[in-house]
Amino acid sequence: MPNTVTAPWGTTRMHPYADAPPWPALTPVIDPGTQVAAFHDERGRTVEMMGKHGTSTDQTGPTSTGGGGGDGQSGGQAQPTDVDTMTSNDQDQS
Amino acid sequence: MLVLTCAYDPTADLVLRILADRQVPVVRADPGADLHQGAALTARYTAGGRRGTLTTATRTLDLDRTRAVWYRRPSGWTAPAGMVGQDAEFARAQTQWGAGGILAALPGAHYVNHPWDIRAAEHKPAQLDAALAAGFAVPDTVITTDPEQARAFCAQQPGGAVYKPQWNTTYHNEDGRAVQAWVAEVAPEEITDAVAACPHLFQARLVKDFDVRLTAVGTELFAVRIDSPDLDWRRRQDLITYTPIDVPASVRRSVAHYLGNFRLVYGAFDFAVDADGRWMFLECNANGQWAFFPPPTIDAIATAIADQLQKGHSA
Repeated sequence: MPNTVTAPWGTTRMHPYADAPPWPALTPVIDPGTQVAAFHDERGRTVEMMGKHGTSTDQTGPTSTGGGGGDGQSGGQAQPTDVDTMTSNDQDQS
Repeated sequence: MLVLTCAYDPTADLVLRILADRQVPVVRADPGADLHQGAALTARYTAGGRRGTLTTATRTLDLDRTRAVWYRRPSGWTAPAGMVGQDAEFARAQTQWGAGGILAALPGAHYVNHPWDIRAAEHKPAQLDAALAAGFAVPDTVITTDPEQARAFCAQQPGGAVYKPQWNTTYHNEDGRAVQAWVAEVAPEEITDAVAACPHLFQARLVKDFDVRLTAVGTELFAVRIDSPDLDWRRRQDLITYTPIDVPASVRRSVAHYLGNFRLVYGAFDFAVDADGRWMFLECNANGQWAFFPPPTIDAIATAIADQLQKGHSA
C-alpha cells in the first residue's frame, strides 16, 4: 500500500549493499558434545563454513560477519549481518 | 553455561570450540526457534525459591546453577510455525515476556552482555550521553524533527555533515534490492520537510586519518586500525586493510567508564582518528561482530570471551 504522506527524509539516503555471492542452502546440526554447529549441504555432506572468518546469522543461511556488512565472503540475502534479532547496528561514520 | 544464539553463527562456534577444548559444560540454545521445535522451559517459584530447567534437543540446563550466559545472536521471538494473526501475536508476546523474562533473570549468572543492557546501550542518544560523560571526544551531533534545525546544523559544519539512521529496519528499493542508509555527506539544500516525519540524526563529518574498531571484553581491549577508501567502511569490506594498534591510555579509561555506565562486559567501539592522533567516538555496538578481523585478533577475542564466560562473576 503506498504512503499517503511523504516518507521520512532518511529513506532517501538508502542504497544497496555491495553484491555478495549466493550461499548454498545449508542445514546446521548441533553437536551434542561440543554444541558446535556442523553444516550439511543438500546432499548431506559436511561443509566447512568459512574457516575461522565466518560469523553471524540470518534466517536464510550463514552469512559473513563484518562491521555491519559482510566480510565479502558470503551473504545469503545480501543483508547486513548485524541486522538480525537484536538489530544491533554496526553503524559507522568515518 | 548458556550460549544463546541461532544455529547459523560461526562466531559463536569459535568460542564454543575453545570451551569444548577446556571441557566446560555448555548448553547452546536459540529459544526463539527451539521452543517451537521440542525444547522446553520451566521455572517454578515457591517459598523455597526458584527452580528452573531448559531442555534442548541435546542438553538440559539447570537454570539456577548457570554461572554465565553469552547473549550472542539468538533468533527473534516468534509464534509456532503455521500460527497466524492475533493468535500468533499472542503466542509471540507470551514467548518474549515469559521465556525472555526467565532467561534474563538467571540468579548468579554473569551475562556477556545482559540483553536488557544491550537494548539500553543501542539507543544512539544514550550512546552520545555516555560517550560525553566518559570523556570521549564526540563529533557535534544533532537529533531533530525540525527541518530548519537540521539545515542549520548541516550548514554550520565547516567540514560538512553526514546523516545516520538511529536504527536499521529492513528496507527494499523499487527493484526489490535490500538497501540501507550508508553514511554519506549531506548538503543542507538536500534536506526537506520530510525530516519532520521522525527524529533524524546529523553529525559533523570528521576529517579523519583512519578508522578504528576497538573490541572490549572486560578490561581486555583489542583495537584494529581500519584503512578504507570509503567514508563508510562497512560497504565494501574487501577493500579494507586491518592492522592491530595500541590504545591510548585516555581512551582505555574512557572505554572502562563507558562500559560501566551501561553495565556492559562487551562492546565494539568505532572511532575515527584524525591526523593529530585524536580518537573520536562514533558509536559502540554492545553486540557487535568481531570475526571479520585477521585471524590472530579473532583468536584473541574468542579466547577473551571464553575466559569471561568461564570465570563467571569472578571475572
